[in-house]
Amino acid sequence: MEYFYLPSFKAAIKKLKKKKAYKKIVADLTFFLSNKTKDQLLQTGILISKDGLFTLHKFRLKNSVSGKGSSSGFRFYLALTISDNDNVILCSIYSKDGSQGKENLTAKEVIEILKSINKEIEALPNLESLKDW
Amino acid sequence: MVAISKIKKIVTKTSSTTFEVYTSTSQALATEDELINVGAAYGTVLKAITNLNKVLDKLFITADKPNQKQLIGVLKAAIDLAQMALDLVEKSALQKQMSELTNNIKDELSFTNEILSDLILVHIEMPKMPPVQYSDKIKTMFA
Repeated sequence: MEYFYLPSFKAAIKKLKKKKAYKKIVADLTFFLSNKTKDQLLQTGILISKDGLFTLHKFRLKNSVSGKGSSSGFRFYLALTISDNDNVILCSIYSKDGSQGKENLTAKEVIEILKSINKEIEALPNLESLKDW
Repeated sequence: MVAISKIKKIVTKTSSTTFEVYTSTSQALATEDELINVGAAYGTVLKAITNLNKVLDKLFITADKPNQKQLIGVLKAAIDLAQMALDLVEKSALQKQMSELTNNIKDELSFTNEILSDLILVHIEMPKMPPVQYSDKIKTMFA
């Protein structure tokens, strides 16, 4: 699988990792995504929607700093291409608790995530800049 | 993967445990008798919700499995009952001594609520949303 990180996703990570309570977010996410086949990864998430181009998935990610249970930690959304090339676009991430804590996303907010793929990638000449954090 | 019928049974059992605790606590608070048992009773509610959450944590929510919709009503009822039981203690003289336990129940309940929200999102709300129109550039890049 090839991972791409939307600029807004990278900005959210940058903002979160500045806080002591979320400082290991990159390590937590890397550990979660690594060493998983596509099927293993997708079985741990929630299939939010499916359209002609992408499936959108939500994942719960533990925050190794807080060590709290399932209700806390991070939530992130990724889009997987329907085609065989297995491109994964990391779109959105937030914390469930702490000073930057957010509630569950509404359907309207989920649609905005999909629209952000359009908006943010449309402005780029190619996908190269989305391959790194 | 646990079958939906089994999850429904676990949810129903959680509701009945919570309802029994609610009833016995209401009585204990009204008569000021057996108040010593309230802590242990709420401990069973916490255990029931925690066990339920462990099962829900492994549920792969997807619109491709429409029978998951059956969980929405029972989960909503279980959460409402647990909230009623929490309100009962939080409005009573036991509020302070029960705070750690009630906070743990609230924490677990917040996860149950998230799963309920996800089920509603996937099975009810998202199917009603208009499809996103992607640009030709995006279609070419990811097709």
